Amino acid sequence: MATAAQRRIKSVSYAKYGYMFILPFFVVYFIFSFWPLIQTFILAFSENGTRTPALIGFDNFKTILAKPAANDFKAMGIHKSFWDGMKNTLIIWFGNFLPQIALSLLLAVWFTDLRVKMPGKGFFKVVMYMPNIITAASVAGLFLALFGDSSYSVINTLRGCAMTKEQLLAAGLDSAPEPWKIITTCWPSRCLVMFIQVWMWFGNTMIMLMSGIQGINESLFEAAEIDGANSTQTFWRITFPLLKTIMVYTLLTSMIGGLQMFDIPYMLHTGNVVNDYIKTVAVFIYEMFHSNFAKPSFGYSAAASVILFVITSILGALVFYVQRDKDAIEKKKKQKQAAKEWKRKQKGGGFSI
Amino acid sequence: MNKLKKSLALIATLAIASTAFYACGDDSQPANTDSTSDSVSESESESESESESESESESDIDDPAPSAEIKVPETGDKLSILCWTGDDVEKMIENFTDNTDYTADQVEYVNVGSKGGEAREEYANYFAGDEDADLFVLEADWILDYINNDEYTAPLADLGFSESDFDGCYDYTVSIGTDNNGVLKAASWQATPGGYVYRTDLAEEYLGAKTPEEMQEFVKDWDTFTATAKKLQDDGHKIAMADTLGGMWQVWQYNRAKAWLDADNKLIVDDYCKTYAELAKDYYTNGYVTKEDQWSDGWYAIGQDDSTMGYFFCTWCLGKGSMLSNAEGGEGGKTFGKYNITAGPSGWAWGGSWLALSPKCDNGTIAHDFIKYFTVDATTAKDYALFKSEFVNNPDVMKSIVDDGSNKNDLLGGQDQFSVLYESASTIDMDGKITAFDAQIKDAFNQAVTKYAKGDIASYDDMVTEFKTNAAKIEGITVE
Amino acid sequence: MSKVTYASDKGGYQAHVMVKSIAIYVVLILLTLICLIPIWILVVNATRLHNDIIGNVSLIPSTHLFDNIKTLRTNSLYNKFFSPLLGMRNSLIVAGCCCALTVFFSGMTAYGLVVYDFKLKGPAFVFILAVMMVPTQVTAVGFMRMLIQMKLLDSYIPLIVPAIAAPAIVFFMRQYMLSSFPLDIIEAARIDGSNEFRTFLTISIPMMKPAFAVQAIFCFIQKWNDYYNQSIVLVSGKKKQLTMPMMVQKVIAIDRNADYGANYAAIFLSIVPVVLIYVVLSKFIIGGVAAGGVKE
Repeated sequence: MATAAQRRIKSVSYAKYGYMFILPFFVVYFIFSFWPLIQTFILAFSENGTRTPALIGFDNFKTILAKPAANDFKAMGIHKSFWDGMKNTLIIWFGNFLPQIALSLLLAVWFTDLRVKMPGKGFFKVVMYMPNIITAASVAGLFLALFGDSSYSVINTLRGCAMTKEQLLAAGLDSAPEPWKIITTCWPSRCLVMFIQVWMWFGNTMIMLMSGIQGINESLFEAAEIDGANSTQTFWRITFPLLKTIMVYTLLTSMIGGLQMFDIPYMLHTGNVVNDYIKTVAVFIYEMFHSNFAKPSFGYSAAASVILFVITSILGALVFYVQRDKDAIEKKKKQKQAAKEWKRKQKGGGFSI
Repeated sequence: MNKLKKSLALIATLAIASTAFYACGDDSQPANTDSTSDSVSESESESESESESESESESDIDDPAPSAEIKVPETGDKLSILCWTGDDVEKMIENFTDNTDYTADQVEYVNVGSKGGEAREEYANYFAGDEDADLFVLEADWILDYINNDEYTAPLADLGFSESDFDGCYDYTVSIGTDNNGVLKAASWQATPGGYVYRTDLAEEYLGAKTPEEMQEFVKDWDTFTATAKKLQDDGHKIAMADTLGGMWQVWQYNRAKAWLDADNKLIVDDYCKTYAELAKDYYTNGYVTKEDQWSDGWYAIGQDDSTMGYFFCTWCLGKGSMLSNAEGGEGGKTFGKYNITAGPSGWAWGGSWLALSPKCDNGTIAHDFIKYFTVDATTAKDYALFKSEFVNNPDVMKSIVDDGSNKNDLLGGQDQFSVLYESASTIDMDGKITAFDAQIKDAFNQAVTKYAKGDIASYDDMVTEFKTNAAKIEGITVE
Repeated sequence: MSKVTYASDKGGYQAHVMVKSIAIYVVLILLTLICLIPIWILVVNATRLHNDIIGNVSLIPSTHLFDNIKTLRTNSLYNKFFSPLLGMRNSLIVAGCCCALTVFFSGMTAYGLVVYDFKLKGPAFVFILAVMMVPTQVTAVGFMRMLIQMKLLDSYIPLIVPAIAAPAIVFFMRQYMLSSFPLDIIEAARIDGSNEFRTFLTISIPMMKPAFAVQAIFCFIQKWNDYYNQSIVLVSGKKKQLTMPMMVQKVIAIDRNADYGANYAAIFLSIVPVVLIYVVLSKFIIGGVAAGGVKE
């Protein structure tokens, strides 16, 4: 029997509260994120070199995307910087994603292997995730100190570049070895950035993959073990196929993250200029609108942002596709289970449990 | 669960603590540095800006009577001088407050960034905010951009100066400080002739040069300089003659007949650039120049580890706490005092700094007195020259110092660098040779040359393309 | 339990597992070293003086940490922009406020989306999903221009207020509520006459504690480390406003003969707070990552 209060509640519409609860989010989002996004789109079609640019149409996109005439250095400069940035981004992303996913997967499988007892598992996980929480600026500073160009960086010191005359004499050398210039040389600097990215992120990826593996029904592994499958077989026949979704998810989100790679490439240099070989697209965008404050190149920067936005949107749509797929599979599974249950009930002769 | 509770408590505390901080961490609060706990209890004095102006009026009482012509208001409490490095400004403030009635509290050095080339942008950023700015230091590489922009610089006439006040200065400093409309906007306290600073111990050991005059014979022109570098290598000494490519280019750039840009702001790349690029490649591959970058840690390190015979340094590199001091490892450093200066292969000058007046200036009298102290007033300028070992912007003053031999630079083992540089100072002519974009163009050029020297770029033509491509990205110049 | 029995049933199997375990441990210890050695060298060098650092590498800490910190505070090369306490205070303001706002408002938005039925609920959720992946870098240009127009440069407002709208965290909270939030309890509260906001504050928030805590930690760490936005907003680089990452960036960029000990000490100080929080809450954080709560 419904009380008066219950009846009153039933008759009240609570819809307005729904709006009230989500209102702050949307107001703030529209002001601080959506409006800037629209501004970015407008700026992409606007001129450069001024803080109050006028619309100019598709020129910025043309400059960035189309190959400019050989003597149009201005267009070539922008065009080249953007594509160099793209190239560097992709190289560094590949070079960090492949080792990272391989390493993380291996570790995740080990950590979740039922057969191997592993004391100290918690400790290892904690240590391996640790680099991820350190400020990128500090990481850049740290690795500059470790692998910097100067004779006094840790790596060059270890190689003896910082030896004094007396030490050299004692060692029987007539001159110290020339210091390695990792930061300002093309591939070494890229490899260092890749290494730093792996160093910072493999713990995170590992834990995500672990939770994926743990989500796999344990009885599958037990069954495999009873059937005498070895670890390799278990991995390729059970773990890997079932992990596919989460792997694709990791891949796509990592790609989106990779396109935004900024902090380490931007800060990993001494001297005045960002190292050309590790300049990513995000650094290009940032430099274009930020470095010359009085005459910012909003147009190029925004056009590059829009291109990035389009790429990200495609990748994002793929993520949703993958995710939805998973949900659908789960739903199907549930339906099947429900059907089974129903059948069993039918068999059991209709008595309730 | 227990852990969870603890963590929640921690987070709650953090959140509350930080909100408490924020309540008083408002923009306009006077810089209340290193005392976190204080600032919490200090709390909600909402009228911080008012409290600031209170203290202002107080300090104004001590000021000498403002001169009648000064048009700048006197509402500020402190003279803020912006610069990207404390090298000069800190020493200037020290000298200024020691010898005048002003106290150290009344003049403040504000650091806007940490690199000279980027200070141009740092200023623009700084001015975008509403912070106090009275005077600021401009560098030759981009001074023209600022003095021709009334948004950022006000005429010195607003402080009561007339052009004739600066008659005692080197002419070129005045003409550079004058904008396109003939309005004087900035005044320099220094002239910046440069020379070749070398290791006395190594010069004697390797070359047998015992005095600067003897050393000059080994570096008197570029051919001789190269020959000396070759001789050192041939003798098996792994030592370079020049510090960095960046340093060499400073000398070459000064001696270039043309500016980077023509009247229409079009980039000029001429044969001179080619000559230099080839020389740079030759030097780099043969070890006549070190492989360090200018302004890096390594640049200073080579001053102590015997990998270079010397540096191309100019006057502002030779004072207390400046580049030479860094290269020697400071007082008590490995090579402290083991350097001497000679004129080097060609006369040259490097940059220079000007004091400019911000339109936001609100401390007219101190600003006037400060500029006067270092640029107009010969007595105080001389005092500063000896105090910091600075080549001040007054030929007569410098002449008198050279004549009475009162300058002894400890970094140069007691040598007087002014006597070496005095002659070339009078020949400095930068007018028409600098552009508003020199800092960026120079960066682009040096990058391209370094890549060419290293072999990352195969041919000179490719190098020029690379240079032009990068330079073309600079807003405001055209490249063909 | 049962697996152990299976394993011991087979001859030689145990030995195989043993060998494998050893191999795994070797790799794990190696990785641990790779993770820790850079940080350890940092800690060690932060306690050594400039002259000791130059010329040799050591793995044994010295005793000069406070000397180096003193250099940071007294040497004008550093103290014009680096002040550990000030930087920590500023970072704490930004990260703390962001953290509080994000968690509270994300919870509120998620609550609104889960508990109530309204016409735009579907579209609202789809919108949040859609914007979840928009990178900061894409909106940065427009953001910068907006800041110029609204005269919000050099203010903490554009760093803190946007934290109210964190799509990814709303998404996470919604999933969490859907899976473990009993809606009946709200009905019960209504019957007791509690109004909607009070129900949210006094009943729902306590029940969502675990989700709140995880998100709070991540949000805090992420905002503490966020150099990108801070460098866009705090353009003038005034010392009293600088946050820890910005101060560290300026230390890296010094073009004078730096004091290595002080450099290391500066970096050391910047990571101490986060590492401490991390070590204390590590189990929790790892659990949070596993729950899929982090988005970068």
